Amino acid sequence: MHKTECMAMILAGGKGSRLGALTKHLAKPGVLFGSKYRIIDFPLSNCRNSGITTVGILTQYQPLELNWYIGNGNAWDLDAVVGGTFILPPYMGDDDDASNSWYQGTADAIYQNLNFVDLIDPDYVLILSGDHIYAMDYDKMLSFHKAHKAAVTVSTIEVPWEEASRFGIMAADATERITEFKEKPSHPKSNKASMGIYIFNKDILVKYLKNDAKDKTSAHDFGKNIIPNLLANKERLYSYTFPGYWKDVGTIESLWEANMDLLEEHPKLQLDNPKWRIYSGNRDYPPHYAGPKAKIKKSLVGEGSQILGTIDHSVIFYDVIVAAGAKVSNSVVMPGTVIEKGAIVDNAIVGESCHIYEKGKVQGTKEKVFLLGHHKNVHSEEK
Amino acid sequence: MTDIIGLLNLRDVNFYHELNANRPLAAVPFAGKFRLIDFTLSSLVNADVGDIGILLPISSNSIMDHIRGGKEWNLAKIKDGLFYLPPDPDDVHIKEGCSINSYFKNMRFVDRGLKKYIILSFCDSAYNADFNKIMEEHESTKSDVTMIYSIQNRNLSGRSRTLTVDKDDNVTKISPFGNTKIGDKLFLRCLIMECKTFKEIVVEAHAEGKTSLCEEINARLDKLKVHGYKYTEYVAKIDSLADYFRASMDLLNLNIWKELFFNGDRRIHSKVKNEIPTKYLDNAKVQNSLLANGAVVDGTVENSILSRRVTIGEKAIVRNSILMQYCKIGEGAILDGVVCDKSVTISPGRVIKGTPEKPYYISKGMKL
Repeated sequence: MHKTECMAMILAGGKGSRLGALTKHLAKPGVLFGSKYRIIDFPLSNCRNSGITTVGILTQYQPLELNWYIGNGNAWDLDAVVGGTFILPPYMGDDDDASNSWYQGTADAIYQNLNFVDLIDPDYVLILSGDHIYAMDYDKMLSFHKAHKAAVTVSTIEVPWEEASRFGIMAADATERITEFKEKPSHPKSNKASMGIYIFNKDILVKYLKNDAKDKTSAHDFGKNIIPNLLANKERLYSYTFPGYWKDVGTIESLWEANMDLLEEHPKLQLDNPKWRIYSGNRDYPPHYAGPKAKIKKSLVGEGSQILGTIDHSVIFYDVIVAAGAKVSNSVVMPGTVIEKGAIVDNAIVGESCHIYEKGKVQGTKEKVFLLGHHKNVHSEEK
Repeated sequence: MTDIIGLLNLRDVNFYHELNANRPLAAVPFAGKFRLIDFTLSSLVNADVGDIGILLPISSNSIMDHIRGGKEWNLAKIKDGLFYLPPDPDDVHIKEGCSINSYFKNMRFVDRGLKKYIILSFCDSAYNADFNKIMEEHESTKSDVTMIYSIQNRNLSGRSRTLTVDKDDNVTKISPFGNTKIGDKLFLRCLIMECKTFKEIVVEAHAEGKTSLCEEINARLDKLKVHGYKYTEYVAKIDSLADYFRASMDLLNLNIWKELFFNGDRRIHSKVKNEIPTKYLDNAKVQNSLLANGAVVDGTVENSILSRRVTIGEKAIVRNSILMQYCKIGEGAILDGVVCDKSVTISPGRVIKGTPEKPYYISKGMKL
């Protein structure tokens, strides 16, 4: 039994309300992505590949499918004799316990699980969001954190200037020490955005969460409260610049775009990096079948599918049937869906187990991608 | 059905060809993603058989690397689970059909399970068996032994045993290994009997210096009720390179593909590889083919099977071919009627042609 140096806490309780039908019965980290994955595959795979073997997953909103999917973590090699994945829902405790309510904010969620952090007793706690798509070596961030003798390290990424006002924006000096932090500034002074990924020294985390819990005016949010408090107390707060691809797919458009990004010849998000495998829940399907009249270009196609029609620039999941004479373009088609002859799907996200009947049309535009929810039927002459 | 142990005999193979020259037959990659053993192993676990021994041949690296602890088949357990039964020097050159010695030496595996039945299989065919149904028939017919057969429906090049079965489905004769013809009742080398029956026969045979289990059963047909179970769904027998080629092409028939892989809830499980979904690039023209996750296609592919990590270069043409894992087909190369073993590299512009009767086989790791 050796001591855990760094544990991860993944915040996976969010609804992702702007994803509409996709998150009606499923927390956002469980949303399907890229022909075979769920968003949570990325932080889980990153943990495994970074050598982090104790991962708490804080669920709250519609957790059933997500909890079932995670299971004991074995799909990500995170089922361990010591450590492993731990699902942490809100729970009832004794009257003077930390718990006793639904999670009130990101910081409150961790605060209510400090007993778990105590149990593991790590030196460092890595706070992650469950709904980001990216491949990142947290061990490099930890080395940076140690080298700078930081109390807290925030992972940051350069965002396009026109989007900077959507994020928590940091200013840092030449040593990467954070000098300023503004949540969603209307006039951003920098384009270095917080990714919502933090490494805390355990004692600092405990101290600031306990103090924040006492503050009844606080929103109990890392970005709005904890980070500013750390800064105000002149704690050693550092910015770790992440140079890779990172996407927080909060909207239908951004989810669609992130899927389409995978169709470039050399996508910025490399899913097939042998040094950084992205793990996913296993399904036992055979290789997919491309029919005698199939025309498939610039697309990803999942296992067990039967593609007899035309697929252009699309992301097709596993167990999808596309009949001869059907045409799918610029779209994402989720598992279990059947698309019949003469049907057209363009600029759309089609949910799970939909049935697009003969000559049915699911038509969106590049500006406004059409979302067809799960288990929907589309007959001809209908949209 | 958990009162059953499974015993997979990977040693007793009666033919060698290009595909199993350097690997156990059970390890031959099939259908772009699986290995032959996956079919029998999956069929057993799908019937809740959780106690399975594998009589390993020599050179079993590929089997042990593929199955490891048996996690994907739910066999990595504290109690029961997967048991590797390695060979010793005597087990190296087993003549066809002569495994009594192996069974005798490994009777401890049969004893430890404390189970009633044993399903013995040789993993030389790919089919999706419903062992629940087969066991039901074994029990309802009050048989001592059940032997699974299928009616041969095409010319096969290997040597097999055939069964003579009467109108009550009792086996009246088990013929020796030999050439077979269309219409024959081909024994699929899968038997079911009680463990105590198995032990009795093996111990007696071993004491008498006899070597073949089937011949011992044949000699006892007057004392044993031997039931012939007719398996009617698709079976791929891989007795030669040509058979392998034809069986692979059979998979391009959606009905057969479904019969093997989408048969009720009996899925074929295999080692998890976490490959990315198949990627079709700008020049991809793929028709009537099976493509595995991890394959990347930028050329023409027709009537072929592509395994994981196969890359088809720009404007390359692959027809009527089977490419195993990691093959790289260079730009503009042309392959027709070719079976490439793992990690073959074909240089840009190369042209290689074979025929369905005589596929051009390229061995593992070759660079042409």
